[in-house]
Amino acid sequence: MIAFLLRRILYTIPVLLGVAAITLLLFDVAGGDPVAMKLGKNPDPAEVEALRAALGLDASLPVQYLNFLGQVVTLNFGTSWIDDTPVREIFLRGLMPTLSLSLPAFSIGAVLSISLSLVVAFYRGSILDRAVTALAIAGISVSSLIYILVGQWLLADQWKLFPIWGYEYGPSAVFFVALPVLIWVMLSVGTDVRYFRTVVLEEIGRDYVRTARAKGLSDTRVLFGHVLRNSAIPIITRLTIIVPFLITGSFLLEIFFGIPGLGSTLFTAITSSDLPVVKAFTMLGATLYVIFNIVADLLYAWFDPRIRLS
Amino acid sequence: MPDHLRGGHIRHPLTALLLAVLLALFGCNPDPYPGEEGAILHVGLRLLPKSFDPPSVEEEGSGKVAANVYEGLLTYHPFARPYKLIPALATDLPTVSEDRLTYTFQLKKGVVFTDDPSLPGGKGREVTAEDFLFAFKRFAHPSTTTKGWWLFDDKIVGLNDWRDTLKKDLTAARAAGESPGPLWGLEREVEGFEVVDRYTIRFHLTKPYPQFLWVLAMPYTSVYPREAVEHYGAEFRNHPVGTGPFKLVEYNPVYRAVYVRNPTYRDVYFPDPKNKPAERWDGWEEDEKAGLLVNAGGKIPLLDGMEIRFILEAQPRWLYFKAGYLDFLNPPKDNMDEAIPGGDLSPEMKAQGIRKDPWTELGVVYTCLNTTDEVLSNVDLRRAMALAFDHVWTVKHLYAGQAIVAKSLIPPGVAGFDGDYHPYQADDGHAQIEKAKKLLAKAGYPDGVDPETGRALRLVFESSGSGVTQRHFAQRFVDEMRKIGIQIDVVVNTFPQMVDKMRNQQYQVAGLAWGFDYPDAQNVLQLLYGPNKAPGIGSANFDDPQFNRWYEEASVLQDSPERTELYKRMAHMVADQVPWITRTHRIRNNLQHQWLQGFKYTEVTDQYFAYAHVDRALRDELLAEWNRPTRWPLAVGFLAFIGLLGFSVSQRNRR
Repeated sequence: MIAFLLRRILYTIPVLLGVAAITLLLFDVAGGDPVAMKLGKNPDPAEVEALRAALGLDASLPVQYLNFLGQVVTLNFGTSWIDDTPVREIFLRGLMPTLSLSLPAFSIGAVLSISLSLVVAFYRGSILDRAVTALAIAGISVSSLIYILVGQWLLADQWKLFPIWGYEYGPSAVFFVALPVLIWVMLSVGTDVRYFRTVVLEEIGRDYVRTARAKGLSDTRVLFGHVLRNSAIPIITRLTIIVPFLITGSFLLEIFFGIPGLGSTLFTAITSSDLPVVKAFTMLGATLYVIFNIVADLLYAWFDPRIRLS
Repeated sequence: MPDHLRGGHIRHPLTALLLAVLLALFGCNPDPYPGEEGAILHVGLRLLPKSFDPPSVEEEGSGKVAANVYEGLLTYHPFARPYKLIPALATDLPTVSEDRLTYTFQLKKGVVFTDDPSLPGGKGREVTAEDFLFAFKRFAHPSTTTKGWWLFDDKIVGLNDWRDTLKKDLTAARAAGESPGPLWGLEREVEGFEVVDRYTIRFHLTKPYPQFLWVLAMPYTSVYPREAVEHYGAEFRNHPVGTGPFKLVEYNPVYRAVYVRNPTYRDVYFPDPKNKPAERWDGWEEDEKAGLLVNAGGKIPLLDGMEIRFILEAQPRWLYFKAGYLDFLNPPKDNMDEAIPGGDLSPEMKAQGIRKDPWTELGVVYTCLNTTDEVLSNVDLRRAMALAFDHVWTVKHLYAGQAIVAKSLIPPGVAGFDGDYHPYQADDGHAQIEKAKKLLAKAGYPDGVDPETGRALRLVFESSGSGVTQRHFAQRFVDEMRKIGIQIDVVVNTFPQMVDKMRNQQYQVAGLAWGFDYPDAQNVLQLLYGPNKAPGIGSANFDDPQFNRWYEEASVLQDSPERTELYKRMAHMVADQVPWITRTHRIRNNLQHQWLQGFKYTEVTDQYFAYAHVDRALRDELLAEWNRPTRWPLAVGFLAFIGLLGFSVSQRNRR
């Protein structure tokens, strides 16, 4: 298992080096001169040179790359070009609001998707199954922006059930994140139910289920004791891969509902060309994605010994 | 009944979950300001602020959040139009020497900074002339990054030398291994800033600078204590310490700024023109009729506080306003039809008692042509392009009618505006294609064909950003030019890329806009003054000796018929030479809820918030009426799901 883990970690190093190189080239080389942005349209040439030196932009590209790797390793991405706030502070400021949205959305979505999948698979062919499947397909077919716009207009503006926009720290956050959580759940349930239902149906049709039933086990026992357990591998793998996105946040939901989290921070950084923030978040996203891919692999190997052996 | 249902192992957790969700939904409250008390002004800002630090208050977002915590020597009258300067921390307008080179200001006595931990004992201390000296010198210091240096560049005696010497010395100090701080060398004297006594400051100018007083009303020149800058260091940008009517108590740069009334604010009263003739201004009767003066004579700020939320997306901003959670709003472009179809308030808005306060923006939207470009240096080509524009279509479709055709680069109401001279724009604003084609042929491109290639002339239009608005404008330019046979390639840029191209003169055509820093035509004419061409601020790279002479002549003249005439001549030359195709002056509509009092939207400053008031009782009453939750759809949805589940169970049981 340790050899397996080490091998997987080693594979990630070139991936992250590549991501760092692409990030640097994409933003620093092709993204325009940040000095112009900071100093306005009519700067003093000496000031331009001083600022270029201060930002490390006067160094050669390989040196800039090494500097950037240094930032990645030390997790010190400097300060925002827009308001000079340290990137680390920006990240910490946005983390809690993001998690207050993403964690409940993820948890409720996962429980609801798995439960619904089991129910509709169990009642396969029933009107409930058909209705849920049709709704899931319809749900997947609609853009997330439509969910947000319509959800905000209908549930918050027309029916007045939720705040239209805003956020409060502490327990009051529940009221402000309720609608975005609901929309997130609706967005994720469609895809997940379709996928989990297929997984569960595949398991329900297996011989061991027939054997369990022949032994006289109750349907509940068969579903939860056998079917769900054997379906867990693809389900957990899928859920694990989603985890990095819980941390980087949903920029659309955060922007539209006024949640001052990491998603809205990234969105505003992109629109205002705040490259240190964008670069840091890009690297963070890539690193988390790679890490949780390893976690998914480990879980997979843990659940299925054949993976370890191979 | 199957075991799993009889035993309830599936049903109970599911039902519990659904009930929990339902209870959560039923318990929700749409009020985004729970527990709030007092008369609080709610403002929705479409931008994020960058800084409260005055030298960095250089864009709309920062201007809005900083305006009411800081003050300078002068400010704008909250109601008078045309805009008029009044003293803020000065006792009066300055005494100016005959040669217009020396301005002397007396400061109000007893004005204190707001209480702050950075000040001795945490108590606000009195503002003196030394504080202004510190603020002005810090603004000019090489370590202070500001986009506003051009306002003082070569204007104050000795200031450029002071700055240049500091730069050299800072470089030398760094080379010697020192780490000079941001206030290093600030104690060195500047000849042009003179502290006469504790309450008197004098400015010595290098040449007459008629715009100087406008500059002294800008956020850049606000006053703040040295102790706060030293105490907070770089964090001073988030910890304003000023003398304004409000005090910042909470700030999240991506969410909101919350203020309370500054308890140490001096005695300032709402103007009372009816009873005090000395406080009258032109048009005060109209303002009174409009109900703006209901609080005349009251001590300001009238509000207990205010909250500015940064709502970047148009839909939530608009819905927030409609629900009454913002007290005023300039409606987003996409909601214009809903708010003011055909220019008048919609019946829905009227039913809500919403008022409209429209005004024409102090600015201009234009298409900038690079006059040093090999192709666009051809003046007849530029004229032909100008004639091909259908401004009326643009106003109708891209601005939903909320703009007027720009007959001049100087907006109406500003000295120098002349709407009668526009040789390359039809009187009615429509395109003149035949005339444009004739000029195009004269320019050497008959039917838009480039004789060198034998194909349509191709030009590149630089667009900043890929938003819907930018795409619409870029596409419109493509369509307009196609009518005269010119083919346009659109290049989408990030803002830094766009600035790079402008600075290096590496572009042909760009869609730009200019908002005035102060209500003086010089502010826009400077963009066409030859010495300001790229890498300077003049992106069209227009450099006409006659224009330059007129500009220099006007730049030292006070507001006078002579200066206005020079402004007109320069505007005529721009209309004739077409370095810019002037397109529109946008109309802004400030919509206000009926509980908002004394609020006259002022685009050159935001310090007028202090004169606003909110009728809290009326607001609460209307909000309760407008925002009553509708819960029956939830019950219907829940019952439908239960019904579906029950039906499926019975169906399976039958099987």
